[in-house]
Amino acid sequence: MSAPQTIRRFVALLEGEEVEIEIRSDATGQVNYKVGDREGSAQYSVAASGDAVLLAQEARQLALRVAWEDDDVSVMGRDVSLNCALYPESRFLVSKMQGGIGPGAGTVAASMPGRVVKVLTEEGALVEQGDGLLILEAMKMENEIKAPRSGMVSSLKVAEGESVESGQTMVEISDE
Amino acid sequence: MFKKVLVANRGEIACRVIRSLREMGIESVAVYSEADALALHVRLADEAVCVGPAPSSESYLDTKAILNAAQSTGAEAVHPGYGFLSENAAFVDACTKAGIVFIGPSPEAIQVMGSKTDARQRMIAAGVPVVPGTTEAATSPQAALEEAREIGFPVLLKAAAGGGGKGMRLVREESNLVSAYEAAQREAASAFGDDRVYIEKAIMNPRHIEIQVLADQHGNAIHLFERECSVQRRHQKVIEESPATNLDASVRDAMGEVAVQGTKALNYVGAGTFEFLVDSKQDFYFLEMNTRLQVEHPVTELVTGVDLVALQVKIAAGEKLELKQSDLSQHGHAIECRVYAEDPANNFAPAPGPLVRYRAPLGAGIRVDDGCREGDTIPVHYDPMIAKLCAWGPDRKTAIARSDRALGEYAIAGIRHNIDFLRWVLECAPFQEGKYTTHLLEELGAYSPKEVEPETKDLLLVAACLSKMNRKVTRETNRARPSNTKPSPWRQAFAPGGGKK
Repeated sequence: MSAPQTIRRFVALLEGEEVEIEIRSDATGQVNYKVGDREGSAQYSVAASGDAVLLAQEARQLALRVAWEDDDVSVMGRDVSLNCALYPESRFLVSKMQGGIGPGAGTVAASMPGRVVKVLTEEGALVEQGDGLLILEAMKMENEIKAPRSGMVSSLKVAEGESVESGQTMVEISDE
Repeated sequence: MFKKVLVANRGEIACRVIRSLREMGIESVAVYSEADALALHVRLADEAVCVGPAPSSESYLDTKAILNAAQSTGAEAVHPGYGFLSENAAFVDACTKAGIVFIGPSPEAIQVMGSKTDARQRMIAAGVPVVPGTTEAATSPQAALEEAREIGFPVLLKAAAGGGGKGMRLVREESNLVSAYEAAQREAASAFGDDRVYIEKAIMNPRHIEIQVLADQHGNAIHLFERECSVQRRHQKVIEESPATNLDASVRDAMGEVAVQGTKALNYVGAGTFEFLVDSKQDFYFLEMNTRLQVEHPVTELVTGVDLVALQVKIAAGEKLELKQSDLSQHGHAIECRVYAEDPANNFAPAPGPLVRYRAPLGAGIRVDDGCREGDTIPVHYDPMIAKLCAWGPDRKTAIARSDRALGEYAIAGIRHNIDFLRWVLECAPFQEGKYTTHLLEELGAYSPKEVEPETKDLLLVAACLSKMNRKVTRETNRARPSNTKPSPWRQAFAPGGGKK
C-alpha cells in the first residue's frame, strides 16, 4: 500500500530550451520524476523555508541550496550548480500564448548603465548570431554587444556617444 | 601610533584594512557613498561618514569630502586602499596640508611612478632593466606609427597614466596601429582623463612577475619576494600565486635586489610593487611600479606571514621596519582567485546585482577577503569584484587542490559569477604544471562551462520543483503569523533581501 502522491507539472526554461518536468512525491520522502523523456526516483527532504533540498539516489547524495528571484531559480551544490526559470506548467502555457516567455527574443537591452562608444551595425543590416552590434562602455571597460540571434536589424535605438540606462532597449533584431 | 584612521575606500579592501586597524587597537572610520550606506565596510568600522552620491567621482574620489570626514571625526591618518585616491598625488598634498598623514608614499614618488615615461627614466638611472620603447608619449597617430616602426612590431600601446590594462593594446602589424592607437587614447581619456599613449616593444610570451617592497622613513628597504600574476584576461589579473613556479632562485634574488635598489633610488616610503615582464630566458624587464597596496597582496602575506597593512600603518606612523631581509622566507605556496560578478557566457560583461544567496567557503588553508554578505547588492557603480579567494598549502599542489575545493563550495545566487571559469583555469594542464605565460587564457581558447551530466541536471531541476512546492507552504505559514511584533527597521535592513524592496 503506497502513500498518497502529489502530482505536479512544471516547465523549466534552461539555456533557451523548454524542459517539461513531472513530479510525483509523497509524504514518506519518495519522489518519482520525469524530466523530458528521462525518469528516475530519489529520496528527498526539504527545509521548511524551501531553500535547502537534500536528494539521495542510490549511493549518491546531493545537498542543495535553492534561491529564488521571482521565477528564476539557482540550485547550488558542491561542484555543481544550475540556473533556470521554472514555472508551473499551467502558468507557463498561458504566459507563452501571451508572448511573455520564450527563447529567441531579438531585443538587445543594456544590462547595465553605460555609454555607446561605437555602433557597428545599421538599420536593415543582416546579422548572424554573435556578430558585433555596438561597443558599450560600462564600468570603465569597453564591451562588444553581440547579436543574440541571426536576423535583420529592424530597429537601432541608440547613437554613438549616447548614454543608456540598465534595461534600455538598444537594438531589435527580427526575422529577415 | 595613531588612535584613529580613516579608510578612504570601499568593498573588500576597506574591510581588510579595518580589520588590521582593529587588531592594532586603532579606531577606524569608514567613508561611503549613498549606494553603500549598508555596505559591509560601513558595518565593520567604528564610525562611518557619507561622502556623497553613488558615482565615485562624487564620493570616493571627492578629495574634499574625504578630508572633511577625516577632520570631523578626528582621524589622524588616511589609508587609501587600492584604486580611487591611492595613487593621486594631489590628494596626498591635500592630506599633508590638512595635517593628516597619508598612509603611503610621498606625492613625488606617486607622480614619478604614475607617469610611465618618467618611471622608465628614473628606473634606467637606478640600474633597473626596462623594456625597449619610447620614453615620451606619441604626439599623433602618425608619429606613433613611425615610432612603432623604429621599435619593430609587435608593439604594445599603453596609457601614460594607465594601470590595470585600461587603454592598453597589442599591435602585431603596421596596418592595425592607427585604429588601435585611437582606441587606446579613447579608453585612456575616459578612464584616467589623460589620453597620452606611448609605445614599447612587446615581449612575446612573457610572464608577469612582481616584487613586493616595503620601505620605512629611516632608509630601510626590504622585498617580500614575488607574485606570479601571468593569468590575465585582457590584461586584468585573474589568478595570482606566490612563489612563482619555474623561476630560478638566482633570478628571484636578482629581481628582489633590483626592486630594493629602485625603492632606495626613489627614497620610496611604504608598500609598493615592482612589476616585471620575464621572458622565456628568464631575463626580466621593469614594467611599472604600483605605489600602493596591491589587490593580490594576500598571497604574499600567506607565504611570508607578514601583515602588509599593519606594516604600512606602522611605517606611516614613523616606526622603523623591524623586519630584516634575512628574517624573511617563503613558506609554502599561496594562490589567489578573483571572484567577480561577471558573465563568462557574455564576454565576461560585468554583472552586478543582488546577492540573493552568498556563502563563502571555509576550511584548512582558506582565506576569503570579501566586502559583502548575503542580502547585499554588488552595485553597478564600482568594480564588480565579489571576493578574493586565497588558499595556502605546504606545496603548490595542495594550494591548487584547496583553491579548487573551496571554489566548489562557494554558493552564490542572484548574479552571474566567474567561479566555474576560475576552476576551469585552475584545472587546465599548463596551470597544473606551472608552465604558463600571460597568453595562457588566449591559448586556452573560448571558455565554455563544464556540462553537468544529464542525470545530475535532472536532480537539480527536481530539487527546484520540490523547493517551489514547499515554498508555497511556508509563505502561507508566514502570512498566518500574528503581526503585532514589528521587526525593527535596523533588523529589516540587515536581513537577507531586507531594506531593498
